[in-house]
Amino acid sequence: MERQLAAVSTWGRLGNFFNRIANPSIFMRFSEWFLYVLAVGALVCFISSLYLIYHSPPDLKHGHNVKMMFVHVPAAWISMMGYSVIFFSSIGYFVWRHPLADVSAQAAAPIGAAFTFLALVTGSLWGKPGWGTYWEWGEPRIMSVLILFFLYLGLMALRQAIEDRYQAAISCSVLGMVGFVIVPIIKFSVDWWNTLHQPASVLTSEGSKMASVYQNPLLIMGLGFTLLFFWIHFKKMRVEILRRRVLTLQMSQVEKASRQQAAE
Amino acid sequence: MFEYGPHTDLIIASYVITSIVLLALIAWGHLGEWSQRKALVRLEKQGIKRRSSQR
Repeated sequence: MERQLAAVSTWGRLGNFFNRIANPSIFMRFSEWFLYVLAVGALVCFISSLYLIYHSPPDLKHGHNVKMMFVHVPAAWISMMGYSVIFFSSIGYFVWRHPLADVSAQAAAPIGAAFTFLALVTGSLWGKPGWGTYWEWGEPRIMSVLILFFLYLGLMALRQAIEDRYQAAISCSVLGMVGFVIVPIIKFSVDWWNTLHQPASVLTSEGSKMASVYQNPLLIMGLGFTLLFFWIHFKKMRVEILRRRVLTLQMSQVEKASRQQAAE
Repeated sequence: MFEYGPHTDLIIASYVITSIVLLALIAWGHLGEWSQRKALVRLEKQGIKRRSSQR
């Protein structure tokens, strides 16, 4: 009973915290110092993982080419995490119509697209020595990640295409929720179909199958990518909040000028 | 300094491309905030202020 009460109060506190920072002004104050925490954390992760990668031995199967994994795999993880952020933000806007949730979804799309682009390019570079080709049309993992990339581009294009901000936000939240179906398809594509891509070796039901000499720098690099993603995401959210404030002020200036003209 | 066999160029290319994209994202975030803050200051100089900052 006591444990249940403690869990409820923890969730309550977490809920209160999210309710508080969902206010744009409070978010701006909170993110101002939190950006420093994210930046320092990401920098520490990058330096320590690069040190470990530099000293990691060649892999039995991939040789030194395994070093490409340390940028390719985190980029692929973040490409899916980025869409997950859009998915939860879209729910937040669609259900509660919270403007900050829309700002979050809008900010995450180009960042997710950039990380997906990185996953595709670094995967292609790693594919050449491993598979003998940079690109293989019909390879389920490559194709599903390519669809994710187009989904990000589609979200950005949809927002630009609709002039009314609220209509654009609703349309994007629907696409943000529906498009999430691609994330489990990417994750399980290597299990469902015959692929050139190797099966999952870190996040598996039987635990990690990777040697710690590779797993440690990979996880640290993954954490660094995650912290950097949120640094850029928070930064872009701040930009979007400021942009909307500028737009509101410009609109009020135009209204004031037209009222003055009408009075004259 | 970096001798990683016949595919050293691909290994280096993957790190260079990743660094360029990540640095571009960081710069994009910084420039975006800087330009919006500049626009806000310009509007405030014209006497156009948010209600919350007029209190």
